[in-house]
Amino acid sequence: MKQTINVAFVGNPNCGKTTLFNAYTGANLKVANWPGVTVERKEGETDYRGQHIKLIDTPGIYSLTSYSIEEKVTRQCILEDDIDVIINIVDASAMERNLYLTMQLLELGKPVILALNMMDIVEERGMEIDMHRLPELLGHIPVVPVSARKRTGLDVLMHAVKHHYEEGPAGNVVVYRPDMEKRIVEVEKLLKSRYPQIKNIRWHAIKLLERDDEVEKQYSLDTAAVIDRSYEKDIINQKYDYIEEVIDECLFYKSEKAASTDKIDEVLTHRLWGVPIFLGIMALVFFLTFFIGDALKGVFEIVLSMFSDAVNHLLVSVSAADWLISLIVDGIIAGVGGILTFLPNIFILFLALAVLEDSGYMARVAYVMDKIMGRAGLSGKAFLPMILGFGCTVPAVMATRALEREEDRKKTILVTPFMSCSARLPIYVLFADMFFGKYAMAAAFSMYVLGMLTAIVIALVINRFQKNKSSQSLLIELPEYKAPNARTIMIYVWEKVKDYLTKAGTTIFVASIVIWFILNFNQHGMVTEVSESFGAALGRWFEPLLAPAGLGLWQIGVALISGLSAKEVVVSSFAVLFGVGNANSAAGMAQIVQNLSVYGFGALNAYALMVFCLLYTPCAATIGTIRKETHSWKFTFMMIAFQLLLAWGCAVLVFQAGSLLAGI
Amino acid sequence: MKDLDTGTVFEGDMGRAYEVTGILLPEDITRRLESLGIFEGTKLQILNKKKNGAVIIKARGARWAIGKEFAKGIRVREPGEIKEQQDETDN
Repeated sequence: MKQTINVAFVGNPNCGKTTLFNAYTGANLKVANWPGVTVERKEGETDYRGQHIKLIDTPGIYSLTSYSIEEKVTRQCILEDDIDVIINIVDASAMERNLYLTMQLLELGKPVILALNMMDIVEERGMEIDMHRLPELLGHIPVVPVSARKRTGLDVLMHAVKHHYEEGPAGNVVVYRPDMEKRIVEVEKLLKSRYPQIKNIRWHAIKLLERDDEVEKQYSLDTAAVIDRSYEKDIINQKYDYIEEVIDECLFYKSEKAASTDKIDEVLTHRLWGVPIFLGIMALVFFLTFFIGDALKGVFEIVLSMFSDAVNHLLVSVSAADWLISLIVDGIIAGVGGILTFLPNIFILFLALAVLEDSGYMARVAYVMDKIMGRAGLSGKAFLPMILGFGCTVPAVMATRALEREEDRKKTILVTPFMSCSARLPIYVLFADMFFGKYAMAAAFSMYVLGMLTAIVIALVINRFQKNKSSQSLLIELPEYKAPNARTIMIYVWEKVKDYLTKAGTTIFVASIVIWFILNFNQHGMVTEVSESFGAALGRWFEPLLAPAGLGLWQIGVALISGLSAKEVVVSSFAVLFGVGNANSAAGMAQIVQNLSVYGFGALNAYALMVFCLLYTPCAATIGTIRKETHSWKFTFMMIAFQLLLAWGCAVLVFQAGSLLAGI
Repeated sequence: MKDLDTGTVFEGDMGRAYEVTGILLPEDITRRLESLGIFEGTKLQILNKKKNGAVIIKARGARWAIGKEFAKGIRVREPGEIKEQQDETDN
């Protein structure tokens, strides 16, 4: 018995690969319905009857060429790494297209096990698969029906791994035209004599016949006598010819029943209703986020208030120093605890986004938005990272990797931060609740619409001044609609909630201490009046600059600067600044409103503040990610300058125009 | 795509089935489409389309949203013409 068997999960996007992987490992993985999100491989472990098995999840790919990042990552993983077995997950309901990758994997000569997923959909549609004939046509490899969602067939699949990790497919599954087979054999000979260490010799020979860039670079060989042209087209054609044979032999009652997906699509991707339906769905998502989130908030408030009182009581009873009590109660608990009370809102937002993603709707948004994005010189595909931006800007910026062209990527990176992320949510919830009464939800929702509009308008403007206007056209698979899987969604949401809690425990924790310090000290030591502190001095520098936007208070200057660490910190700053235990409670809000109204800060000022927070640089993590993704400090700094200028300009516009209107 | 012997996916009618006769797109795009199983001889159905915009097709059991420029580069003909053509080649 081998000590550890290394297994790679390989399959097309949307074949249920990550769901299956999660079923074994329960790992903290991002499950995405479009390529570009899971671009790095993920690992997990499982044990089956005493056998230790390491599982490696790879990004979803359609073929083993090296055109996209996903393909390169997967190819490298299964070629170079110590992979013993490849589990090829095949969506049984779209077998014809899925088997193309299978044919390429079989050519590697490594042990392959076919996991036939989504058999339930096949049965629902009245289709039948000849499970006896299928393995025969695939080199006698094990074929195991599984359901990643219903968690069936999981043990059988690992059983196959345990028993078949040494056996590759029997013989050549796809046999090409005789003239091509002859060339393959000749290239194999050349390769063997020059590079005797190569495994998967047939696969490498075929890749050379396809004139694969990477293999040609890796193995320089004079093949001019054998390879007179690229045989890629012939190879693809003949693989599909063989797949047609397999389908003819093994798949019965094909598409007898019209797929319900087509019927749903008639409505959701309707040429007129598509966009309004999308906007309606997003409005519903935010309605749920505010409505249910706020309803659950009460529980958190009570717990936080009890905790804060208990800690205060405890510290007083042990005669702790005043400054320590102030640091813990007014600094840390107010800063971090206040942020934790927004957890229900964050939870609902991510839950809704996960349901949309897992159901298969998100890819449709690319189609629905294609025309609007086209006017901005981008394809609908660029809208997908932008939607991710509603969750968090960092993965959204990373997801732009799915866009093929560099210009498209940079343009999308530039506009994605305007999509309002979940960290900005607490600011809207707080200020909308404080100043807009029954219109709070509308005021908060308007931020999301404004963010989207800003992103699209900026892209439009850039497109207008861009010299090279040709943009990459859309090409994206629309997966079958399916009922969202509870486990997949819970893993996704838990991952996000954990991120939020981690951020509260790290960035926001540190920021709260720093803010407490600068607000309680100056060069002479601890101050009794906050207006004499370092923070007040710092904030006062920004007062004249922020005054035209109705934000000319040193406290706001401090809050906005500290918000650069993470947007939630704007809220924690207000809590610490105004000595409020829980900014998200009715009493806390009343106290902040009272403090602000002394300076004449009203609803219009609050709206200008929300606009500023929507548009200015999201956070330090975003800055780091943009630098990493663009490899350019110049681009990153120009972008920060642009965001600050835009935020200031729009906030001034809102405040001045609002003041004028109010005057009339 | 009435009164035309051949046309493109962009000109095709919603709900109708076609067969690809050729792809007139840059090499890298053609290769990508090929690896997705969309090349000469592939049967496809136009499921949905926007006026002067993207098209949703179904090919080899999978649905694809294809932008306007790509849709204009995929040449297709109606299945009736295919059969006659095939008979000729068989003979």
